[in-house]
Amino acid sequence: MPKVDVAGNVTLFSQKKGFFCGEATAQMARNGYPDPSNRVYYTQDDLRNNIVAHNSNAIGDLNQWNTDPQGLCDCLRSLSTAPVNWAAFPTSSRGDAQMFLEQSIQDTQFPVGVLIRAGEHWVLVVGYETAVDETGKEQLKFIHFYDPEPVGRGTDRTIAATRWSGSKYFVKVTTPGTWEGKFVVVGQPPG
Amino acid sequence: MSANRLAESEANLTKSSVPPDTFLQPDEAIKAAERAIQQTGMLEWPQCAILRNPGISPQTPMLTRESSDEDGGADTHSFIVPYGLKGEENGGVPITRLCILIDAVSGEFEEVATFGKPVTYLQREAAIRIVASALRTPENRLQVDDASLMFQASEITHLRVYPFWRIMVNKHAYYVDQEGKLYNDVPRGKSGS
Repeated sequence: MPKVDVAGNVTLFSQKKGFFCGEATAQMARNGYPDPSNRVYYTQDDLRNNIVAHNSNAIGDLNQWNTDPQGLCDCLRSLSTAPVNWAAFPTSSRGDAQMFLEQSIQDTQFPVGVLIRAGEHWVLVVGYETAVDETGKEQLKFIHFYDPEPVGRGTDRTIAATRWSGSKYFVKVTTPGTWEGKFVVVGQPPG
Repeated sequence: MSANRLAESEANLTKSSVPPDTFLQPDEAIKAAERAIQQTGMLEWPQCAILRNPGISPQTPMLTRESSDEDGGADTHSFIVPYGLKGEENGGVPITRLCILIDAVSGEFEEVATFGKPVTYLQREAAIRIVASALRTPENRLQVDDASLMFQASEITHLRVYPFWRIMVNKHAYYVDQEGKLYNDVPRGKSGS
């Protein structure tokens, strides 16, 4: 069964503070490039400042987020050079978001930042596994991701697809503003 | 009280809204976890390599209720089946290296998680002690109506394998996280946290 996993490139880092999931996700992502010579370690305090500088200033987004999708994406863009090309992919289609996520990891070998629990929390997806069902269609079986919680510890999690796609994990953002009603993935556009 | 009887006691405390014969028993939860290990191919996953250690064994399963508050649906229940190495303890409490999350009704595999650093789960008595201390009440005089593990995505935690204790005292709920921090409510917190 097809399995794509880049966890070997990425070190699990925990968030330093209770609201630093975006910073820890950026830290893991930037230190987890496929080319080892291009990996850079930034502190979460440095990344915090960078994210704050890039978070959305739209009136509807102010004071809603610690790290919003624009903040995470533009932070990573500011710390990278071409051909690395971080992009936020907000979409109202679960299928499109999931396809972006899987193809991004498969084609580029970069991990992908994903908002889970309706926008509450950032995690870094490092792999997935699919299997062909009885109709011949490829179906997601497991998602493998690094969760920067708990503070000071972090967790390596592998979740059954039924749970990932259920009502509480990979679901539309409910936070009012720019990303409301969207699934959000931050990664390299598939090749 | 033995570990198994303690787990059963904790399980009973959280069964209020679900028919009492609905949940798996703790030993059935362990069997479901063992089944998941075989059926998923988990033993071959690098992140679960600790399961290949001959010293690994399941610890007392913990029944956890996930609150429906955030989505309006029904509460869901899971068993956290912790695994650790025999003899590894911290203050008499077993150290956990990996957890398998099992649906408490169907026994279906939900998740496997390994912590960046092994954990020692906060025990029920310790959580009650924290509340008693905060209320300046001797532990043996604290009227605990219920003490159960629950999960709700919040400022306290976003991890189902890292739930918090809900201690009901005189109809007032107190919440104690795994680090021993006490809360009066379950704050949602900002997005992207």
